[in-house]
Parts: sequence; structure tokens; C-alpha cells
Amino acid sequence: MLKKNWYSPRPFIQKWAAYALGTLTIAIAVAMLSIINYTSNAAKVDSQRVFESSVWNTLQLQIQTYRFRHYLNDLTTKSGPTQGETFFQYDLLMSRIDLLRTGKVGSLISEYSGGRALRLLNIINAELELVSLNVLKIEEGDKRYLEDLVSRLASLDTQINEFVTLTNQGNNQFITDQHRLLQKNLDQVHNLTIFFLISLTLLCGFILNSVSKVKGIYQKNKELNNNLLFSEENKSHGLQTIIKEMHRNFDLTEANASNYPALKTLQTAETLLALVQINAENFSLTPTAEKLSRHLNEVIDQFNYHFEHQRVSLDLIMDQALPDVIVLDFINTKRIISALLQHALINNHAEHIIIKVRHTLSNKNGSKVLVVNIKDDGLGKSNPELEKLRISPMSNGHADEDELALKLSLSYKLVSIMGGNLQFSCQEYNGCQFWLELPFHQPNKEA
Amino acid sequence: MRLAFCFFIFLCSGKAFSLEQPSGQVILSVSGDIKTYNANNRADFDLAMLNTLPQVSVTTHNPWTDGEHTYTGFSVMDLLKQLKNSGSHLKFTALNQYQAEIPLSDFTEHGAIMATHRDGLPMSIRNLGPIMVIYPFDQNSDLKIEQYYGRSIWQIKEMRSFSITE
Repeated sequence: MLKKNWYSPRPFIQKWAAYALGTLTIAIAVAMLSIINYTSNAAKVDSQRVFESSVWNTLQLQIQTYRFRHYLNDLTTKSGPTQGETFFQYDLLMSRIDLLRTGKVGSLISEYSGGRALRLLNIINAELELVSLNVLKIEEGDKRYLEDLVSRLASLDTQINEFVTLTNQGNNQFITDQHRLLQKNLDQVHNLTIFFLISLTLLCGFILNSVSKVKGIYQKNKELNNNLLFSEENKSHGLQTIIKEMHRNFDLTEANASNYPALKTLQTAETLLALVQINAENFSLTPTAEKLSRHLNEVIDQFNYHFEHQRVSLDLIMDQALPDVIVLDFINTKRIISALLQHALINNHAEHIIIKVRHTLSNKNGSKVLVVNIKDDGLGKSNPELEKLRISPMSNGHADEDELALKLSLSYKLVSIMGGNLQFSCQEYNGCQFWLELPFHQPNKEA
Repeated sequence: MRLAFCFFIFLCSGKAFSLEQPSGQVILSVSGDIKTYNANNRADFDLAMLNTLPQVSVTTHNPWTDGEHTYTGFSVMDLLKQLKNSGSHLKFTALNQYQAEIPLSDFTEHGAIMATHRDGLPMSIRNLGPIMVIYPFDQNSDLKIEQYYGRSIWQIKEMRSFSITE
């Protein structure tokens, strides 16, 4: 009986978990926006405290009225023009009326006591505007208007007192309303914060659950990787044993008709071993300073059997500027070139092969790069075959081709490990061409 | 020789820096920690004298008037420089005896000005003149608090410079 892992996927639960997560995220966003909105409203309400100055200005109106009356009473003992002083005192009084009728204070007062405060203010203003004629006469030194003016100002006392009372009541009501609004907003913010915290807690729960799941998956993945590496190591040991046995039982130093099958099997085993070692991360390069031409000739010699039996001609053209001795991993370079030649001979059935070898400088870092161009006149490949080879060189179906596919696959990995590049192009019935680029350096002269 | 010495001491005493006399109605009297006077321990100014100072403007809304207005006037720092001020704060008194204390930093850091004109016209008493301290409320929302509304004193008639020692 298979034991089901606790983290094994349950699609319907995961689907609902995803919906819940989405809902929580939206809820948190809504809660945040609402809190911002309510706090912003609270700030607006707070800024409206400026309206409280309506009481201040109302009291100032009352005081200024008394001051004006006091000034006028003092005038009874003086004679002659007042040098603008009466107008000055009158303007000071009227400026308070203006302040109570305009701006935000004016807007607020107009709402007090259902408009009663505003009507009173208009009456006071109209009466004070009417006495301006008296002020003008007094300013000119005509004191006959003084008594009438003082009397009319005294008669305004009732209205001004009522206006002060109404403004005070209205202002208290306004402040109470503002406090209620603020309290309501605070309550809303309080509730939203609780909702926000609950949502956040649930979200944290989801995140913790997800983290523990990821940890489980990571652990499982680690175990699988270890198993894979163990398996690859086992494969590696098995292949190494096979290769040793083959070397012990067969003379494989030179290719000939009698040992050809064994040699082919050995090559396949060596290719598999290299692939396994690469997968097990147990593969290392061994660059040595040697003659390139010697190694190229060794690779070509491996295929003498094919050249003779298939009547294939081969031209090796080496650039004279190429250094004679270079530092390179020759064993693996030969593996790659061997696979490419095998492709030209066995897979493409070429009659003529040209190998051009030169060197160039890398566009990336300016280092030296060995360029090996292998061109054949064989069967080539159709576009679908070509695409298949580009995507997965090991996915051929035929047994004969599997060995080559294996070698090409290894070639790609080796080129990648060596920091090089392998490109190719084919045309159906017109051969293939490979470009192998491998970085190298020259040995130190002293060495 | 003795006369010349006395004149030198008189100049060095720092009490004799002169200021022209106002020709029109005095609208602002400055006293306190200043060294330049044109009256008895104070400096009096009429509108013409204040208009000779470099003019500055603030365009803003405020809670006491409808709509946006452009207030033009002078920087209190220019005036105090002329009076060789050594104070750090100003106490303003309005025509209705209302008083407000304002640190000089409000004029240097928050851009408050002493407005004498509103929308190009001299400010009458009914328009909160002749002088009003106005802050750029629209340009800096941090100023829209009671502290600065309270310092926006209008109908100014006196200004006294003083220092607060900590």
C-alpha cells in the first residue's frame, strides 16, 4: 500500500485555498483603503476646527461695538473734526461684521439656528451701514448726530447679544456634531483594523502553510537528487568495470575488421560513462599542452576502415597561423570531432569530407578560440530532422543511429563544459556542416 | 579734540542710527531689540516708507476671505535688517489690541510675509489692513493648523522685537 505524502497535491483543496488567498488579499486591500479614507476624513474634520473662531469673532464684534460707543461718548466733550478717527473706529467695527459674513466662518454661521443667526447679523449690518451718514457728519465736526448714533448703537445691544448667544449655541452644536463624526470614524477605523488584523493573521497562516509545503518539496527534491546521484555513481562503476573487462579481453589498440564490433561497443560504453559522470557531477577536464595536428590525425586514423570501405576522401586544411602546440583537453576534443566525423560517414554516407581548422579571437573576452569546420557532401537532413536534432539529439528511433545520437548528445555537453560552442546546418541531399568552437590558450614559453 | 572723541563715542554707542521721518500717517511702529529709530525708542513707518522695501507676494486661500487672493507686501526680515534687529521673536499688536507672538523662523522658513496690498490694492481696515501677516497656506498644507491661523494677525499697528533666552 502506498503511503500518501501529507504534501501531496489535492487539487480541489488547492483551488479553494487559492480563492481564499485571493479573497484575503482583496479584503486586506479594501480594509487598508477604508482606513486611509477614514483617517483622511478625520484630518478634514480636524481642519474644520478653524470654524470655532466664529465665537471669537462674534465676541470681538460685541467688544468693538462697546469700544465704538465708548469712543462716541468721549467725543461729546470734544469739538471740531475728528481727523478720520471716527471713520477709523467705525471701520474697525465693520471689519468684524465683514469677517462674520465672509469666508468659512460666514458659511458656518449661516447654518446656525436654521439661519436665524445670519438674519440677525444682516439686521446688525444694515443698521450699522445706515449710521454711516451720522459717522460722516460727526467726522466733519457736526455733533448733533452724535446722540442719535449712540442711541441707535445702544438699541443694537439686544440683537448683538442674541447673535452672540445663537453663535455660541450653533458653535457648540457644530463641535458636538464634529466630535460625533470623529467618534464614528474612529469606531469604523477600529472595526476595520480588527478586520485587517484578522485577515492578516489568516494570510500569515496561509504563508506559513505554503512555506512548510515548499520545505517538504525541497526536501523531497533533495532526496531525489541524492538518489539520482547514487544511481549515476552505480552506473559509472558498472560501466567502468565493463570497459576494463573489454580492454583485458580484446586488443583494441588498432581498428580492424575483427575487433570492430568490440571497439564500437567500447566506444559506446565510454560515451555512456562520460555522460553518467557529467550527470553525477563527477566529470573533470584535463587540458594538456600538445600538438594539435597529431591529435587530429589520430582521430582521422580511427576512421581509416570507413574511408577504405566507403571510398571516402578527406581533406584536412589547417591554417598556417595556428600555433603548433596548444593547451586543450585533447581527449574530449577528439571525442567531439570523432562524433562529428561518425555523423558524416555513417549517418550522412558522405563521399567527401573537408575539415578546416583555424583559430580566431572570442567576441566576448578576446581569448583564443579553436574553430573546426567539418563539411560533408552526404545525404544531409530535412528540416524536420534538423529541428529534431537541434532539440534533442538522443531522440532518434533507430539502433544504429542511437549510438551516434548518444555521441552527439555527449558532444553538446562536452562543448558546453569546455566553454565552447557547436553549431550546424544541413540541407537535404546536400550534406551537413558543423562549426565547433573551443577556447584554448598557448603554453608559457618558459614552460 | 574732545568734541571729536565724544562724536566717535556717540557713533559707537549704536543708539544713533537714523531713519527718515514718515511724511504720511503712521501705520506701523516698531520697537524692542532694534538699533535704528526715528521716534522715541521706536521706528515709525507710513505706507510710502514700507513700499520702498523689496516687495514680495503670496497667492493663497485663507479661512477669513472668499476665494484666492494675491497678497503683496514686504518681508519682515528686510525691515528688521534696516532697523539692525537683534531679536528672535516679534510681538504684533492689532488695532483691536489683539496680540500674537511670531518667531522670525516663520518668515525665513515658512515664507510668511507682511502684506500691505490685496490683489494690487492697499488693504483698508475693513479688508483686514493696513498690514496683515499672511502665510502661504496653499503652498504648504502643514501651515493649515490653528497655530499658524492664530499667528495670521491682521490690522497690525505695532511690532516689538524681543529675544527668548533659554
